Amino acid sequence: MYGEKAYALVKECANHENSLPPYNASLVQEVSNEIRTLVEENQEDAQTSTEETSDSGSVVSTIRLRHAAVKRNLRCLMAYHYNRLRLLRKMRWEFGSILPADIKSNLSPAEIEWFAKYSRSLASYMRSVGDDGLNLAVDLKPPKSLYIEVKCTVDYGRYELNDGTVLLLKKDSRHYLPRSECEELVRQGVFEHIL
Amino acid sequence: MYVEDLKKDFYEFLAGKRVFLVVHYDIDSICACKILQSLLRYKHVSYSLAVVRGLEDLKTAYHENCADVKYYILLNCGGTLDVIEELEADEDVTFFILDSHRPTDLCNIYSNGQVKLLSLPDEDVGVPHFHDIFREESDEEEEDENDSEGSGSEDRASKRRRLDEESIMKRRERRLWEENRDKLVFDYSQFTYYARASAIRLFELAWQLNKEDKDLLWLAIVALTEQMLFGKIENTQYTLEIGPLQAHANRLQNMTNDTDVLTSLKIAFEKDLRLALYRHWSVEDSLKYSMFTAVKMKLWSLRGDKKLHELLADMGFPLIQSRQAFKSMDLQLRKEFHEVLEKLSEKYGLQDLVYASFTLQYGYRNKYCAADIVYALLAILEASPRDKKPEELFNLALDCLSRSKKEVLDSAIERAKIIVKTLFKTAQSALDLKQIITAGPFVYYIIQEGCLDWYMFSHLQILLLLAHFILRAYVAVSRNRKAPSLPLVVSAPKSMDAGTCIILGIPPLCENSPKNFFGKAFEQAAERINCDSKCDYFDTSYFEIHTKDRTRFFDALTALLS
Amino acid sequence: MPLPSSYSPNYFSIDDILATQERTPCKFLLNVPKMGQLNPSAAERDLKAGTSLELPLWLVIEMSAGRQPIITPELPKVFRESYREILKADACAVDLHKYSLHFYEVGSYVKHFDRRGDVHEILLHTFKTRYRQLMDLADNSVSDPSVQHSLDTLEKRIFVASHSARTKLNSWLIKSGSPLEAAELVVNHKKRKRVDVDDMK
Repeated sequence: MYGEKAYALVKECANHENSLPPYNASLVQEVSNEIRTLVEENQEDAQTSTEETSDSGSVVSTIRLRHAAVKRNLRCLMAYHYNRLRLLRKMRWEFGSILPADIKSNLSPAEIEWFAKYSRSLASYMRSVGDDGLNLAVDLKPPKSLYIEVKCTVDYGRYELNDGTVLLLKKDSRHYLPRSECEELVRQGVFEHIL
Repeated sequence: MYVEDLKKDFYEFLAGKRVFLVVHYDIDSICACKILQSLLRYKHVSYSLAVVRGLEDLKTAYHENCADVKYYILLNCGGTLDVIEELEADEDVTFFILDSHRPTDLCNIYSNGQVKLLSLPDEDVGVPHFHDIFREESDEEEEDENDSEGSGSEDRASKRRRLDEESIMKRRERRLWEENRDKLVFDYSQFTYYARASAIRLFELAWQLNKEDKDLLWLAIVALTEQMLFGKIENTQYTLEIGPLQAHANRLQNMTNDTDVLTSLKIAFEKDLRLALYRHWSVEDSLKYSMFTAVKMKLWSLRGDKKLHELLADMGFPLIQSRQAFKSMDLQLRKEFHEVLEKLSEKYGLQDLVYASFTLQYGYRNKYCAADIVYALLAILEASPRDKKPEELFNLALDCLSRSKKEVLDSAIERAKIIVKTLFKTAQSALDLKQIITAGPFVYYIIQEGCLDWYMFSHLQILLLLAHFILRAYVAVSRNRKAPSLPLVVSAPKSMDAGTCIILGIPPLCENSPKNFFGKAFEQAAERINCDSKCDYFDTSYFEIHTKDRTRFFDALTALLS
Repeated sequence: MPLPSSYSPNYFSIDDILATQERTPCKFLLNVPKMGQLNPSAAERDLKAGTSLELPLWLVIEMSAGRQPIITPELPKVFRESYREILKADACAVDLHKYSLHFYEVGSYVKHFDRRGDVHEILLHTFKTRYRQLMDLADNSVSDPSVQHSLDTLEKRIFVASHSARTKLNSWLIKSGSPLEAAELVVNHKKRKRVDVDDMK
């Protein structure tokens, strides 16, 4: 049946709603090959038998069927890439501009490039807002106090605050810090906010 | 150096600075830490927090951070050592120390500002005078220098004679002074004991700053109750401390604000029974396993068991009801429980069963007495699964104290019951198997490595509770007339891999005072047999040696004390 | 930054693609040359008129539309009379997950194959009856995963969304302040990592 491989590709997206599986280059290649073959066959049939109607019926039906398959395959390919990009965009907001290595290794070269470009446009947009820029990635929730207490969940090592002081972040150590300094680390899962 | 004005020289001084909190791994410290945290929050003092269990931890915590942070607050640790020397601290680092361990190290008391003690000066008893301990070395050197410079050639001989005499006198004087000093220092540091809980001191600071509320008061109460339950302070001291806290409780109760009405948070001063966790257990179990009743009625024996049932019958409590969870007992019985037991206490030799304490009530269902919380915290800190790290448990204990995490508290209380049961059973088997051995000047009990619950007893506070239980049980059954005047030494395995064990000594019952002389004794005994020992604990009545040295160590201890 | 996965079918909708992969029986009206391979039971080169086959919806929709349809579609099994009767009797008692993973989407496609509008009616009826139960579950379920087993994909999405909305509302009502949280993807990433580490042991 036509479209089975393309379906497998989309299924891959559906099975990983919140994570990026490795970019399946070989399957993408196979789907585009299928499309190419279908298009070529259609062209051939359309040229050779435009007038004659063979006893076994019109090739128009055949061409229509192949064309439907081409459309289906295209749609699946597009959906695969589009949904991956959407996840990637979400990651920019949640992981920050630097992706963990194991995620990065799952991306295709084109996706890596897209991510870099997206980061760049986002950064330049944030710089352009207001007088001296606005970091849209912080204060996603209205702050209740300027300082918050956090618990460190990983051995992070030394971390420098904006005012130049250095902290040693060890697993399970507690800190009381300006909220603005912590927010990103909380989002990245280094800290846990304690109420 | 003592900080006289906590508000000005400690609290306001810290505003805007980065602080590092070093907190000892015990209940008082956790309460104190929570109070301090809420105070620091008002001033937006950013802090980091580390938990330490001994000197080694303290050193690591300091050395990991000394490059970045200049102000350290040490809670219940460091007071008994010369911190500057032990930590090899830089000159620009300041230590604020609030430590309930005593005696405070003299170098800390007479530090010129680098070490600041937050406790009250009169809590340290018998501190020797500065000039009896420290001597200006520089004077002598100067004199020596003058001498060598001014020595002419002609009267050199006579001068030398005079000098000789002088220096002999000086040396003699110095030797006398040194002897005197050693004696003073020994007298001063002979006993280890506990001063008032750090949490109370910090609560008073909060009061001074008008930042106190019921939650902070409750923390102070829990800390005080811990000291009393674990026999760290005398009963009179407990009674003295509880007065002001009661006044605070009344005052805060009258100052109710809106949120209190919503949650109906209430701290009540009440008479309570010396029964472990009875509100969350069944009456029979609590009576049977609590140290107080178990020792008084010798509940480990068959006769004791009968007596217990007799008591229940006298109280008019059917067995079915007394085996029921306290909460689901008949309302009538539940109401009468206190009264009836108090009335019968004399008949069954349970005088002093009642003591003054506090209960915390919030919502419509939650009622905990201070002792319940102490047991729950103990269960979290010292009876959690082995793979949990101390930092995790410390965080869990902090959670347990916040009212929103009720499930943490409830599961901890369940585990606390197991501790109480295990203490009882261990004491029972120690008596049955006659494992409590008299060694002349003291009795001792060794928890063998094969023992099922050895891991539980490798923790300090639980071991302390066991020691109290065993000593009291021993005195209750012993035919030896001298028994009440004998101290007890217990030993439990610390680490199987390293082959080490903890030794803990507690003073005899008759002294009725928690002042503990074992710290020095252990040190000397270890010196005598020249064994490789480690004293990592801030409470010096604990000692750690290799298990293979234990027999020799006990021999040396016997020789030393007799 | 709200980046919701839009549900309503659009060109990129994954759910819609998955739903249109479901098969429905149909009959060929015309001969289709060279397409014999579509019928695995016959070895002929051409597909003869009159052949009955189960084809995926995306193909069926294309081929049955237009002035000259090549095939006539029939209703899939679960939308036929007997199944409709069951749904009419008590829709709540049905394990919709077993009927079809994408019951409602498939239904909204195949309802065009049915001139009398019975499918249309049964879709509405089923959703309305089950929605009440669904909301009840989402508001009160104590994070019991078993309740989700009998839901189709659409219902599952509604369940998850309303359940998390309810939890958020509750925590807001109680604490009236929301803690900072680690981002969803980060949490997921960590969990996966932990699984990986466990596997290696």
